[in-house]
Amino acid sequence: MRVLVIEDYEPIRRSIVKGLTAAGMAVDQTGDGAEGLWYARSNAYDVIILDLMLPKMDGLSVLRKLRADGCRHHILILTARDTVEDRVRGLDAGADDYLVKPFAFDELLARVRALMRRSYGEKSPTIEVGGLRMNTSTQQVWVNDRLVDLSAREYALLEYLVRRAGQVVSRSDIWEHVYDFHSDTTSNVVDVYISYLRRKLEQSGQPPLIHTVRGRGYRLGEAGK
Amino acid sequence: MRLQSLRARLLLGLIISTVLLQAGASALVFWLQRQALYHRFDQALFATARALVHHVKVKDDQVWFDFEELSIPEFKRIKGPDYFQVWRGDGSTVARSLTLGAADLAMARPGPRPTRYNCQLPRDEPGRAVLIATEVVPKGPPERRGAPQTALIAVARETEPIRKDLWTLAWILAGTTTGGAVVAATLAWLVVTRTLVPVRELSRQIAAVESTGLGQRIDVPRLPSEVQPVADRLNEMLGRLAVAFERERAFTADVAHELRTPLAGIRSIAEVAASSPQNAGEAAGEFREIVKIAGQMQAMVEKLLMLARLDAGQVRAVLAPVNPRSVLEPLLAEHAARMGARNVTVRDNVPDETSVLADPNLLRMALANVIANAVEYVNDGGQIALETEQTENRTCLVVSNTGCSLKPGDEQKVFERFWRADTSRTGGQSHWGLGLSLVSRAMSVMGGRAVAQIREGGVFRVCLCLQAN
Repeated sequence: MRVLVIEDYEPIRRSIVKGLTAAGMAVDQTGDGAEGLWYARSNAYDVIILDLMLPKMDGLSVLRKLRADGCRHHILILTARDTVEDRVRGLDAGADDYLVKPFAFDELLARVRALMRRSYGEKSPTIEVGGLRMNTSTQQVWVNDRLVDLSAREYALLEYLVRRAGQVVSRSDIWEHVYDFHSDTTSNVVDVYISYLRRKLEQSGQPPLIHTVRGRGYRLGEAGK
Repeated sequence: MRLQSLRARLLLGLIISTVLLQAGASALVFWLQRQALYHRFDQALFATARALVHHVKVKDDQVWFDFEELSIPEFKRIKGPDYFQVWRGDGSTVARSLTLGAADLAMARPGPRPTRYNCQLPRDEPGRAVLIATEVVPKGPPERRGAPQTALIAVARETEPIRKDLWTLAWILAGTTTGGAVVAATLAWLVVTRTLVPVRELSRQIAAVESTGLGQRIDVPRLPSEVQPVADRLNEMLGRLAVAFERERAFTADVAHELRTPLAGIRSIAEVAASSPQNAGEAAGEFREIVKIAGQMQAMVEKLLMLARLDAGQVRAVLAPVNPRSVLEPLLAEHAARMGARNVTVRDNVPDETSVLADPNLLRMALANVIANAVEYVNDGGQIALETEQTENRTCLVVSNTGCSLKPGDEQKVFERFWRADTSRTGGQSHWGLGLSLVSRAMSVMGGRAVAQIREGGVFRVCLCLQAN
């Protein structure tokens, strides 16, 4: 799941990036509004965390420009402005959520996860596909009630596949949503991680979970779920 | 007794003046009526006396009164109210009305003109009389005629009816005066109460003004022109208070906002660090970051505290001759490394012998902030200049820097609290737009002032003007 953090106060930006990365998200970051707008326009983010007071272009302008472009990213405003008028202005400009500084990091994380569920039209943090069950809040995965131990990268890849279960997901989709801007990942690495996942999830005698669709990509579960 | 109430004063004044006016008018009416009544009474007595003169005759040099011919029936009665008596010049009685019986009428001193006087009548009735003296010429041919004889004729009548009439009049007047006073008091009360309605409304509106809603204004329709200026001044005062409150509110909001951001930084660093495993080196880095932010917050709080103290007048300037060079040199040394790294040159033209009248601590604080500001905003490879400007009795220390991107009109704003040309924090986390506010306050506490100027070529100047020593 890919997140963009646009925040000019470096200590906050750094700690958010660190925390989100630790939670298995691919995070891009920038300290100014104009660059933030460029990032948001050129990548497919699941969630954008946006400060309001930014150099070069303020957060509300970034938000309005993105919405005017028809951008459907989920945007969370994170700001020190706490009046009702500020919140109303932010939400009415097209934000999906509003969080006031100082904030509890766990709350920010929970709100980001909630926005991600909304991105994929889900309500429950628990997703089940065939014999696979995933809790996106606790980041635990079970196959036929057996808890599977995954690395952060493996989990991130599986979460994206689970969220798009039944659909064919191309390597570039995976690349866009699972790896951040500065990753030195190549699509070959995607194949490597897919093979790691298959090894950990699939057992002999059971039908395969991850299908390879020749020339197009991968599909988790049966088609058209 | 001091009457505090405007209404009581007006009422009392109105009632007293109405009653006095009515009483005076009644007294005048009474006196005029009395005069008229007595005048007519006297006229009647006088006419009667003239009529009696024709009955006085002289016979054998003796005055006598022809009672037989007397055709005035009132005198022939036994009982009053009309009386007369005729005397000779020597005072002996010639005749008297039957109503007198054997008693005498009181006689006044006769004069050339008829005399009017009050007298006591026989039955102790109060009465009024007219006395005329007349020369009676005997009848007959002039050669046989004797000497004329003096006769005194007094006519009197009881005055009881007049007194009764006057009493009636007095009662009527007293009654109308009292009634008039009651009516006048009632009317005055109504008028005064009605007149003071706008004043009551004014006080109600003033009472309704709350410290939270200073936007409201006093609006009393038909306010008397004497009270209108009070309402106007009050509205002006409310306006000034509202501006001050709004400034205070904005300041508090700014303080909260400015403290919230670094606090959020500390909190999120600590929370992320606490929830994710990390090595000792990483943890030390987080701690250093937190300490750095805390230090910046502390610097900001100290600036705010200093501003509050300056505002509250808790900082007294002790003025003494100060050579600004002694303050400038350590400050420049402090920033030397940073300026060197950014290729900033310093042009120091402050003469060695400069001396200003200042509080050394406040001047140091002001210069420290101005120089820190210049170092912060000067462009890489730019120049910071220090010089002095002399006016008649003032010495200005001028600190200027190149690389200024402020717009014309921003000169005044730089002294406002929390004002920054760029509202974001990218310029560095140690600048909140408080430094120059402090400078401005410190200068005014020392009796001087701070002026900002934007010159062509992106030169920003701050002049600290102080009394020359």
